[in-house]
Amino acid sequence: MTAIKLDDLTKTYGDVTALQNVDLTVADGEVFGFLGPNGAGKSTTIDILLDQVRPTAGSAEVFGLDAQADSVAVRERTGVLPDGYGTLGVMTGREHVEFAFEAKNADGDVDAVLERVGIAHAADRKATAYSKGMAQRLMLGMAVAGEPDLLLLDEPTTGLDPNGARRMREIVEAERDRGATVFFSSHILEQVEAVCDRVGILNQGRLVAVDSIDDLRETAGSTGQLRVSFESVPDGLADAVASVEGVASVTAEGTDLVVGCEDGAKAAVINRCFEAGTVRDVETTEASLEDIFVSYTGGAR
Amino acid sequence: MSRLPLVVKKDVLDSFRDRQAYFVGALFVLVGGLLGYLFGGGPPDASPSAVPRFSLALLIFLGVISAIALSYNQIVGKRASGELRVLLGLPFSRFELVYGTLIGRFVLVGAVSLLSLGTTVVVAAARGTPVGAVPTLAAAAAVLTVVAVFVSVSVGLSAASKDTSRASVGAFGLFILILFRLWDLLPFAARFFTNGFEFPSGPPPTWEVAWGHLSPIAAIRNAVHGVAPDIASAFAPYAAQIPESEPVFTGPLFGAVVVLVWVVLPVTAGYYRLAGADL
Repeated sequence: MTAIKLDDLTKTYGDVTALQNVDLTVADGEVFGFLGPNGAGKSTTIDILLDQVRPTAGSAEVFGLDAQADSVAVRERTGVLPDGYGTLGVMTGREHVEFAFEAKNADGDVDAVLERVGIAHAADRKATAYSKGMAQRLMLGMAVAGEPDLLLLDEPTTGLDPNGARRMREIVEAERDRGATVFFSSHILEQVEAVCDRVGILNQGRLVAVDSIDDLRETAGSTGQLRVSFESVPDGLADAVASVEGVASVTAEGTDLVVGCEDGAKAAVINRCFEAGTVRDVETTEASLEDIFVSYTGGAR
Repeated sequence: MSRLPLVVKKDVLDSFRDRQAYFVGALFVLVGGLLGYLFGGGPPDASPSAVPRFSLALLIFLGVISAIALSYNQIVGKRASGELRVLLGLPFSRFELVYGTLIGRFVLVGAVSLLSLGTTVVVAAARGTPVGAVPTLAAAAAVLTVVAVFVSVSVGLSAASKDTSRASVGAFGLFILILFRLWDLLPFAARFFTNGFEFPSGPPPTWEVAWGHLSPIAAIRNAVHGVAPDIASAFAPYAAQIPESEPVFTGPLFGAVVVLVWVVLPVTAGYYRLAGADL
């Protein structure tokens, strides 16, 4: 079963191309992260799925329903945290969540939702007086109200403190465990890495990569790094390490040998080092998501 | 299933939550009471249609102003604040939002108008002036029609506007057009321009007279004139007179059709503008 299917989706505003020939399929039950620099077209994609923006060409489907023609049916199954939202008049937090349940024709425990997103203490205050982070939590509460099959979250962690960001992640995980599909956009890489099954990288309206983060790492050619510390770097070790398959670079930095290599080559490299001298310490790092991101978007971030 | 009732309910409750309903309601009741008190002291042999007629004359003015002021920002304001993005993330259609807002605002402005009329009638009657039931009901129907037209025009304007400043300009234009009767001057202005910037001479052509009777206020008056002629003069300050010859476009049936167009067309045009827009 397919949750989201974008087919050759294109959106232009005059001369500006917001999306260009985007093809994407998100499976039911998947947590999908939509990455890209500001202005890459992430919100436009979400807006098209909600029929707030109409595509210039191509089509978008949600659970097999056309996002334009069957928009209300799509939104009956979808919880949304939009970008650039505003509160509903001068309703209180509680009234917002009650209204969301009512609009979705769903029964549910309003207090439990408020508790879950962490604004129960402010439930009876007007949402217009909420801070940015509290409003963000409220919108998340409205999104998850009524157990939707799909969650569309546009930059959900904007304005959240670290606790709020963690809670957001826990909620995304809980929703996935319940069986919901989660599609969210972000330019904050760590959050995407923490919860997403797959990510898509959007750059200047083009989908430049779709894969799991591990595979993206591999494809982007980004290598891990190994730092081995000695009393002093043994003579000839650099050359010996460089000959190991999968090693991309070797540099001596003082008493350290810094080796850029694929993860698979790390054991062999360490082995060579132990044979050559007394190793004091070994540090290993993976290529950061940041490196991958930059390699796909040409540093546009 | 339709979520239209939920939009109506929210729109009406919003006016209580932001105190609009209390404020406007108090104003209408106060003015209505004052009017009732003043006319209630009149001669006891006054016509039973006098009090409803005066109330109607006042409520045309207040109703038009309130309908425009309380409606013109009702959709474009939500578009600017981002509320519309939240509502359209929930399973509402744009149709339900526009027409639900129309009904909600009609309920609000209609209710305070009836409250005002009711207060005037009760206070005047209590002070010993005869008030007829039939002219009162006719005045109620007439004021509700005025409210329906201007809520439709203003909600349509709001739905069609891209930003709040355009909607404000449009609302201001509406005031001028209707309450200051710019409407009636337009054909004259057109003739002035086409006449090489010289004042045209002779009697106005038929189309100019007809144009005057296409204005919503004149059309309502013409329709009311056919049913309850004794209260129709309440519209006199806001509409062209019916000529002696009573041409067909001043007839009540023609008026009723024009009114119907004024109720249905503006909001529908606004809806189609919004329906086709990227938000």
